Order: sequence, then C-alpha cells, then structure tokens
Amino acid sequence: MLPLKKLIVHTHHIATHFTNALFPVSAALITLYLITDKPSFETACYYSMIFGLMSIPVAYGSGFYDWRTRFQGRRTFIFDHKVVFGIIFLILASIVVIWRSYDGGIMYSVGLNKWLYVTLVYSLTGIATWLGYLGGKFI
Amino acid sequence: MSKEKIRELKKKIEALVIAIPRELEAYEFYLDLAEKSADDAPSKEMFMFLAKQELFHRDHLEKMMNDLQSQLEEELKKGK
Repeated sequence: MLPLKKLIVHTHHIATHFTNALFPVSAALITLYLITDKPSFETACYYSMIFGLMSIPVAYGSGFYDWRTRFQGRRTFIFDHKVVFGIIFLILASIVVIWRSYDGGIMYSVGLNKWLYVTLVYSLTGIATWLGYLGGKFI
Repeated sequence: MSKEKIRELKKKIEALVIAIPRELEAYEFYLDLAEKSADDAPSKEMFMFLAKQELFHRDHLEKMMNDLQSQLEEELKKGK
C-alpha cells in the first residue's frame, strides 16, 4: 500500500489525464457531429464533457495537495499559470456543461449561440493542452 | 533593475523547485531498495550510499536556491 502522500500524487496524475483526454475527445466528437450531422456524436460530446468536469475537483484537489507538500507551496511561473488557467478551465467547462444541460438543442439551432458553444468546446481543448504541457514539465 | 537578470534568476529558481523533490524521491527509491536488500550486504551498502548521495544533492540544491532567492530579492529591491 502506498503512503497517503504518494497516493495523492498518483491520484493527481490519473485525474488530470481524465480531464486532458475527455475534453479533446469532446472537441473531436463535436467536429464529427458538424461533419456527419449525426446527433449521437453531439450527445457523446456532452457526456464526455460531463465526465471530464466531474474529474476536475479530484485533479485540482490532489494537485493543490501535491503543490503544498512536494513543492512546499512555492510560487513560480508554472504554478501561477497552472492556477490561473485551471480556474479559467473550470469556469468555461462549467459554463459549457450547464449551458448544454439547459439547452439540449443548442447544436441544432442556426444562430450565433451554436458557434459560440462550439468555440468554447474547442477552447477547452486548447487550455487542457496548455495545462498538460505545464504539468509535463514536472515529469 | 535588470529585467533580464530577474527573468534569468526566476528561471533558475523554477528549475530548482522542480529538481529538489526529485532528489528526495530518488532518496526514497534507493532507501526502499536498500531495505529490500537486507540479505545482500554489498547491495544494501551500495543503495545506502546512493541514497545518501541524493540527500547530499538535495541539500546542495536547497542551498543554491536560497542563494538565488536572495539574489532575486536584492534585484527586486534595486528596482523599487
């Protein structure tokens, strides 16, 4: 059995891979929906984002613990950026999931909202990539 | 104030912030191997030697980081 400290560090690595995988998958699924017009891709995108969002608290909580213990809470460019972009990521991911939950037909509309929704889904992939890149510097 | 120098110091400090926990992890790794080599005295001795080296590295890096942080604080004070 791993000591708690190590277990939490491993939890962070696992949970961040969930968010870093599920949001790019969501972007890929929404792209497939735009290409094929098959609703199942749009629905899959929504569920993928829900599971991605659910793993964020675990990823952030364990990441914060790791920063406080292994890195003794030191402030550097990487940590500052991880915090700022992490907060932006959480806000945007919450907005997208809540929006889609309240308006299930967002992708079937023809207005500007549809494209704003798509842009948000793509932007989450961009931020997840940046956060993953920063996290990769510790490995 | 030299912005270039401050940037350079911050980069070095960041590298050390990342490196120091790695030394501690390596120490724990070798210590674990030493414990698992209880029946093999030469191996145990080697792993203990390596574990101590990692602690020495960590102390050395900590000292370097403290020096760099002092330099950074001085540079920032100059700019005020």
